[in-house]
Amino acid sequence: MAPAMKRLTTRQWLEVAFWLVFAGLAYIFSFGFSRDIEMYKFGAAGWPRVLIFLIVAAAIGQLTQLLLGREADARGVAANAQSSTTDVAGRHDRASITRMGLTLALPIVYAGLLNYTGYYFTTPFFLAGYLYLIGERRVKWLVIVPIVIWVVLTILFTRFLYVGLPVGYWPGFYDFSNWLIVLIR
Amino acid sequence: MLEQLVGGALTLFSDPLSIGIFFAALIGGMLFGAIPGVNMLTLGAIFLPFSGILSASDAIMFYSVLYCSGTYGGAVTAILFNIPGSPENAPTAFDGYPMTQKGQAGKAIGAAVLCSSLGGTCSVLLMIAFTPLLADWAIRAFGPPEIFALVFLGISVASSVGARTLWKGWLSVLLGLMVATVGLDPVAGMERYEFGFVYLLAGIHFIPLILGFFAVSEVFVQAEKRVVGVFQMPAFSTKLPSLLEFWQLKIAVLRSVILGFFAGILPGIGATLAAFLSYNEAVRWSKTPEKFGTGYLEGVVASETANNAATGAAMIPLLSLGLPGGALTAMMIGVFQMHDMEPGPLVFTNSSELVYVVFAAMFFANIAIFVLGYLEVKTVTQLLRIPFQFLALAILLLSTVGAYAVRGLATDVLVMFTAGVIAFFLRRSGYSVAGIILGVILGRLGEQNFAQAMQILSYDLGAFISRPIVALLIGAGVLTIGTNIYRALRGTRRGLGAKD
Repeated sequence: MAPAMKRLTTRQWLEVAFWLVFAGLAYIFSFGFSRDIEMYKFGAAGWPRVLIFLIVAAAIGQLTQLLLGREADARGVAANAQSSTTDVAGRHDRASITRMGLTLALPIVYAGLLNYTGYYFTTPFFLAGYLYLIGERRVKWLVIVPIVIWVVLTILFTRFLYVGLPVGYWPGFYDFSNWLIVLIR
Repeated sequence: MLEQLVGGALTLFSDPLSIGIFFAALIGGMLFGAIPGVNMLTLGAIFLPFSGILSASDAIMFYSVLYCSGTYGGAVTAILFNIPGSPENAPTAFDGYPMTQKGQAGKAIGAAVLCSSLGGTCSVLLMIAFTPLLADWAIRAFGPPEIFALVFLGISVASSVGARTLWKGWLSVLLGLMVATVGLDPVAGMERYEFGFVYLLAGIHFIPLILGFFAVSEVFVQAEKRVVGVFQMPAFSTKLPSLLEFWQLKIAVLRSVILGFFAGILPGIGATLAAFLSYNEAVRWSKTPEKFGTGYLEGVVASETANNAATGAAMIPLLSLGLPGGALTAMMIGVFQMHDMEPGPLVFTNSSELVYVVFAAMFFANIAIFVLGYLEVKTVTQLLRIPFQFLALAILLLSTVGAYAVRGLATDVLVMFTAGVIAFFLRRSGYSVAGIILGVILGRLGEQNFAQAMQILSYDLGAFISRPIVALLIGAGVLTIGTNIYRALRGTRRGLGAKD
C-alpha cells in the first residue's frame, strides 16, 4: 500500500520555497560571471552551479520527506546539537513578540551606526538598551553595568591590546572618539 | 628519542629567560584563546616584532607553545558560553555547552583539559619519532586531488552533524559552500556575487560568521527565554570527571589522536577538520549516537583530543619541508626568516638544538596545560555565577570587537549580527550552524584544489579516482553519505510501518 501523503503547514511550504527561490536567484546571478577561463574548462560559474543543483536536490529531498511525514525520524547525527534548544515554550503574546523583534533588531542598528557615530560613543547606549530589552528594570543596574563593561573592555582592547575600534565619520563623534583614545592610551 | 628530548629540556630550563618565555606563551595562549574575538593569532601577531630580539630557539619555542595552549584555550568559552575561541573548538561546543546548561561545566572543562593535554602530548611524541618519515610521505602523497578528496570527506561529515534531518544537514553545508563562493574566484580572480559592493570582493570572512552563528545567536536564544519568561540560570558545578569515565572513553581518545594527527600533517587542513572528523567518527562508532549534542562527555573528548593532536603534527611539514599548515605556522616561517634561517630539512642538521628545544617545549606545554587547566576549572567556571543579562552584554561586546578586529571593517560587525539573527531562525528550524561554518571554511579550499586537480589530470575523472588515497577518501565520504541516507530511510520505513 502506498504511504499516505501528509498535509504540509504554510511554514513548511515556505521553507522549501525559500530554498528553491534562493537557488533560482543564485543561478540567475551566476550568468554575471559565466565567462570562460582560458586555463580552466569549467569556468568561474561551474562550481557554484553544481552547488545550486545540489541545493535544489536537497530541497526536493526535504519536501519529499515532509510529504511522507517522517521528518522527526530521519535525523542527522547529533541532531540535538545547537538546534533543539530553541523551541521555546512560555508566553508568546504581542508584547513579547515585539520585544523579541527589538532584541534582534537593536544589534543590527548598533552595527549600522558604528561607522557614523563610532564604537566609543554608541556602545554604552546600545548596552543599556539591550539590558532593558532583556528584562532588567532596575535603573541602578541599567546605568552601572553597561558603563562598567564598556570601560573595562575598552581599556583592555584600546590600551593593552592596541585594537583599533571604529571612531565614526560624523565630525562630533569622530572628535569625541579620538579624544577618548588619547585619554585611555 | 628520549636523549634528544632530555637534551632539549635541559637547554630550555637552564635559561631563566627561556623559562619566562615558555610561561608567557603558555599563559598568554590560554588567555587569548579563551577571550572571544582575540585568539592565539592576535598574540602571535603582537609578539612578532619582538621575536627578532630573542634568540631563534626562544622565538620559535614561544610560537610552538602558543600553538598548543591557544588551541586548548578556545575550548573554555566554547563550553561555558557556546563561543568557540577558534574554529577548531566549534565541535567542542556541541556537547560542552549543553553540559554547562546541565550543571556539568566543570566536568566538560576537566575533560577538555585532560584530552587537550593527552592529544597534544601524543602528537608531540609522534612528531619527534616520525617527523622526517611522515613529512616526506605526506607531502609526496598529498597533491590537490587528495586534498580535494579530503575536503569531500569533511563535507560529507559536516552534512551529518547538528541538523534535525539529513536534508537540512545538506542544505546547511551547501549554504556555507555558497557563501564561500562570494568574492573573487580562486582560479582566475573573477568577481562572483559581489553585487557592486567592494566589501564583498574580499569574500565574507568566517570569523564574523562564527561569532554570529555561535555567540550572538546563543545570546538571542537565551534572550528569548527571558522575554517569554522561561529562562533558567545554568546550574553551577566544578566537579571534575572521574578516572572511570575517562577509562571508558579510551577508544574514543585513541581514535581522535590518530585522526587529529593525520589531519594535522596536511597543510591547510589542520585542527578544524580534525575536530569535526573526530566528532563525527565518535558519533558513528557510538552505541548511543542519540546522546551526542545533548551534553555527552564523549563529544567534548573527541573534539578536544583531535584538535590538540593536530598541533604537533602541523609542525612536521613546517620543520621538515618549510611548509606552513596554517596562520600561526606561517608566522613561524617569518620568525625563521627574521633570524636568517629557512625551515626545511637543513634545520635538522644545522640547528638540531633548536628543533629539540621546540620538541621539548611542546611536550612540557602539553603537560603544563594539564596542571594549569585544572586550576582554571576551579576559577573560570565561577563566571557562570554572573547573571545572564550582564554576561550577555559582555559577550555581545567581545564579539563586536572580535568581528571588527579581523579586518578593521564595521561591515564585519553588521555581518556578524545579521548572521546571528539568521542563525537564530535557522536553529529554530533545525538547520546546522556548524554545517554552515564548515561549508564556509572548506568551500574555497575545495574549489581551489578541485580546479588544480582537474588541470593537473587533464579533466580525466578516471585518473582522479584511480589514485589510491583519493579512492580511499572519496570512498569514506560516500560511505558516510550512504550510512546517513540508510539511517534516514530506515527511520522513514520504520515510521511508515508503525503508521500502517
